[in-house]
Amino acid sequence: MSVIGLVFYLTLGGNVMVQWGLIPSGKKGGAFSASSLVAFLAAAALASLAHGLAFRYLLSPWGLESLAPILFSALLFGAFAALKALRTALGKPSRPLHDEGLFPTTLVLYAVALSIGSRFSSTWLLLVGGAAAALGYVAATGFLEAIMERLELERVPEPFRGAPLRFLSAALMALAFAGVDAGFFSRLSI
Amino acid sequence: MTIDDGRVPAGPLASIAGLAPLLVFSNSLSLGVALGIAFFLAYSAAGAMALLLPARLGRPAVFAFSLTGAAVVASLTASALRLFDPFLFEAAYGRVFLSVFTLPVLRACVMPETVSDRERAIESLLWGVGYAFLTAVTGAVRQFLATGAVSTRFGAEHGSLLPIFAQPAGAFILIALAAAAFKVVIKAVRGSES
Amino acid sequence: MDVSDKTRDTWILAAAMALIVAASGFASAYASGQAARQLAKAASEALVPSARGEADWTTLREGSVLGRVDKRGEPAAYLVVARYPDGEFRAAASVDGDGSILDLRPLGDSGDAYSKRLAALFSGAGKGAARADASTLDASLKALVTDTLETLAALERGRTEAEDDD
Repeated sequence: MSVIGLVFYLTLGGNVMVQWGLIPSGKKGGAFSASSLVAFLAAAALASLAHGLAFRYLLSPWGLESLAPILFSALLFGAFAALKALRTALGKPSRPLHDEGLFPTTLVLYAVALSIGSRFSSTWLLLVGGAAAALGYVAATGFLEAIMERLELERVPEPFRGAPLRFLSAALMALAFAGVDAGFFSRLSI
Repeated sequence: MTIDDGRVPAGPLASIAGLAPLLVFSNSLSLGVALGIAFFLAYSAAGAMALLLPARLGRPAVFAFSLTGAAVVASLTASALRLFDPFLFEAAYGRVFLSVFTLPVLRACVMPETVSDRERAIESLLWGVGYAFLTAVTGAVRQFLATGAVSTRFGAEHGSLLPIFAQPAGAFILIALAAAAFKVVIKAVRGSES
Repeated sequence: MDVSDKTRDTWILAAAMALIVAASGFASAYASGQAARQLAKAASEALVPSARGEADWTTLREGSVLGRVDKRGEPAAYLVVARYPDGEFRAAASVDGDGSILDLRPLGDSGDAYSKRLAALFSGAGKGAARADASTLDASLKALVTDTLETLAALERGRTEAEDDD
């Protein structure tokens, strides 16, 4: 499959937002500045690469697959410490690791790493797949926020306002994406 | 996640929304039970460590140790699952690992600061049982809706009733309906109180 | 609060955590060994019901191919686990040197329409197999079957080349 096909698949049929249930809260979902988008894609690509290679070539041969979440925690702490040191050197403040605002990003990064790591084994595909999956997530959250904005103008029954409507919208998106998955690609394995 | 426009207390429902990554995958009783147990153990370990570790370590260190503790528990759960049913492990290991990084577990890793925070943290540990039960029940309900039967054996789900409920879309629809029903009940309870 | 107390506590906790992680590693390796035995047994018995003797298991996780069973004097067998939205299809496939399927046996009861169709498509792809009848499900399953067959061929070629190098 070409890189364009891979990006197309991971944006639609294999989208991590619907396949992994990573529905954004709506407070900031879908709003990414250009620099934060680049940083997010790079983080997703690196997380997929590091986790994918370590899982396949370090843990699996020794039967240590179950240690994967510990490995990802270690990677997370290491990356966070490096980032903090870099920001301190640049004289910029950094958020603490236990800042709740970082939790959704951590969850998405791990979901992307797990999703891509289980599909690909080559370095190149892990990197591109990680970035493409993150791009798919950003696109899907953007679509969802646009749908929610449009629905605010509609007369929706009171019990469905807020999160129920968000999940129903996500359900319709998931159905549409499942159609793409079944109709064009079925399953991706490279 | 705020469940509505701020009119309903978001506590338990917010956590249920945070469980969506597990609920979406829980499309059979066996998967639901496996994920429910994995979540409960990771959540309890994280919450207990955040409560019991000495405050002098500081919040970042307590968070790091609690998260590592939750990851270790998820690792042991995955190993037990692999011994029990290797096929179930192969299907579910990603979600078992992801349970450590779901929002309720990450929130439980944060050391409570005040006395009232600590009391709330103890209360929220009890909610963990409810979340685990919910994950298992979601699996059973989705399996029944999708196939017309509930099987305790993984990979033995056959029949076809409403197959959409085995897919992520079915999970989102169920969560939406449950959240809407919860809002109606809360509103009715508040109406009868006033 | 003494700073040295905090440092000491942190190191003690870190050491305890390292021990627990090591114990988790042993548990994982043990579970992996037991699972390998179960999977190898399931695949061997599906292909040769009266199979006896030890079979070596290698976990691969390449696409829909979960792993390989090597048994002395017999063609290599692969365990295929193909997932689709409502379930999964499991089968043991023995292959020849170029990766073509010699025999394929579904594991367990293939109850739903997808499983039955996948079994027919995989069996139809085997050497000397009669052409399978067509179904409306084939269009959505064809990519999965083709991917799996290509993966099997690549894995088996890789294995035989590695053996020849030895």
